[in-house]
Amino acid sequence: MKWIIFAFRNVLRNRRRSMVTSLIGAVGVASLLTAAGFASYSYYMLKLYTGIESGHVIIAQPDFWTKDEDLPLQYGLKDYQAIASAVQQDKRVAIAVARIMYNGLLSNGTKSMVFLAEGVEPRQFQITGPTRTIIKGRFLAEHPDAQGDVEVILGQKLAKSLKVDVGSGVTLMVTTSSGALNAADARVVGIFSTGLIELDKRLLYTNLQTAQELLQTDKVSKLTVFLHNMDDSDQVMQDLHQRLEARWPGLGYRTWETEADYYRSVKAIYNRVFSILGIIIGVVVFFSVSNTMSMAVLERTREIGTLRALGALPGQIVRNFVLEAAVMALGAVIGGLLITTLTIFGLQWADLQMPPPPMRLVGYPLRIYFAPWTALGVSLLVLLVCMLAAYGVSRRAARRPIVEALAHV
Amino acid sequence: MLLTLQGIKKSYHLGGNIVPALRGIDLMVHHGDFMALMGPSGSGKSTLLNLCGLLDVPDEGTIHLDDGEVGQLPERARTLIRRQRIGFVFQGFNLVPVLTVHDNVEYPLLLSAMPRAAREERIDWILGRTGLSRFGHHLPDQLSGGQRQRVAIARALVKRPELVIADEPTANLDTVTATEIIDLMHELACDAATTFVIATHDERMAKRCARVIHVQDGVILS
Repeated sequence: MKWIIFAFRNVLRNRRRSMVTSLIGAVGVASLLTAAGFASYSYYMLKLYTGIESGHVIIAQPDFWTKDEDLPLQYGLKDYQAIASAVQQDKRVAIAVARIMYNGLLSNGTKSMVFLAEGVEPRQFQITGPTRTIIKGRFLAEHPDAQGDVEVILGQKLAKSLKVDVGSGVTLMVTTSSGALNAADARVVGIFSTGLIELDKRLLYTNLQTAQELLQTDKVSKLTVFLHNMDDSDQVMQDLHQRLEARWPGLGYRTWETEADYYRSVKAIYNRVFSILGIIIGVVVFFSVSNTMSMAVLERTREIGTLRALGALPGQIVRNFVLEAAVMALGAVIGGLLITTLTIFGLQWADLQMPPPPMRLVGYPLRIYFAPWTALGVSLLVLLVCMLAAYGVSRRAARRPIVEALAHV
Repeated sequence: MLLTLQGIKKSYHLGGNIVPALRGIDLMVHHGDFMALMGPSGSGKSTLLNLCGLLDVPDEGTIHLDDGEVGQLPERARTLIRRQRIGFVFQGFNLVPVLTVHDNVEYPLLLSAMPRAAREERIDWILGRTGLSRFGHHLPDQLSGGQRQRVAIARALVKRPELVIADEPTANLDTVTATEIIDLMHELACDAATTFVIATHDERMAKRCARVIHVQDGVILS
């Protein structure tokens, strides 16, 4: 304890220099925590978004993922309602809903455009919330009127290209699961945006039932399972696989992460960027502390000689300097945490928005998450870097001949 | 015999030249000696003092502390001997400026890993003996030159060493203070039966010493 007190006093010996060093460290810690916090927020939002898009666990025929279909729903899932009921027995499951992915031509009577469509069960959105921003009109009705019009909602660019609006009539033309042509008239009840320009030019949604009638099938593309806690995905997938295998052998199971190419790519890029940033900041802190400790060692050469004469071993001298560096690192960590906290609250208060990424229409809020484990890791890293710098600088001075050190002016 | 130096030679390399500092010294220091090393600047007395304090190693010759040869011991072993058996008083006091009087005096005891209660007892004793009891919480720069040298003496004696090496302990002090310091060192040497080897130019100091060794051009004259 005494040695730590002595280290504190030595750090305060040249307050300005120690403060500048700690401040550089603090800026380093804050930079790393801010960058990591931004990445964590981005990962979290992407994860959430991807999960809502794809479902947390996906069940389909394995060929659905690995082969191209010659006809719609060639590798579709039969008996999906029974599978969904079985899945819903798991208390970790919030909802299991079917989806059909299909495509065709959408016509306003004079102009036709290729569309990509999803047949969905609207009840899913009561659990997950809307995944699309409805710009105009409404989302699909949960129980469409059997006598009424077929409902469809369109991406905003698709609606614009076809010059249709809410209430307009359109015709959906598709190839059925048996290869025949089929068409159905539909009423536009809503216009949405995905935030992605290319999707907004092509995407539309119908009810699952509408899609099945159009494609003349009783199959679905896949069953998407939403969990109360997304982090249970791996475990739930394994458990479902085990439980359902006997009754429905040969089904394929995936989690959201396997489906999330974009999430994994972004995470890989961010991780690489922040690793490089971490190395650069680590080097800056290292040299800053090295510089400070070099000056301290030089100024205290005679003192080192005195302490060596009194019986301090070189290792004890080095330990003293390393402790001093640890004290400065502690100041850097506390300062860094303070700056990060202020930044987090400042950004929340200012409600800043990031500009839209390439190919997207909307930006997203600039937020930073405070990750305790990252903070701990960064703190330990800064501590280690500072102590290493002090060790490197003081080691040689501590081994200098005592007589030479005592004669130092 | 506490310390025996035989055939000691020591040279320094200065700008490519070899400068002999000691040219073959034989010296015996008895237990309880209060000895002065006198000589002009460059005579070799500081080099001799450094060798007596195991701060340096001779090029030739042997140094025995009691019966053991210590002159060529590895650095670590010499450090441990210094820690336990040798105290130092420097001309410029060499106190750690950020440590209080108490902490400066405590430093050698911390190195010895002495338990806290024993340390405090020793510190109380030596601060009392050196007249510094009231100044325990003062920093060195809050003290006069004489008081600082008292702290340095207290630091040297707190571990109750067998040998104290003092390099010009009165050189930076006024006459009155220097006399006080000489008296104090003499008293403490008698009280604790501690051996003092003191390099000095100060005639008053030399007069208080039982033995005075004159060094010149790297040899002992008398």
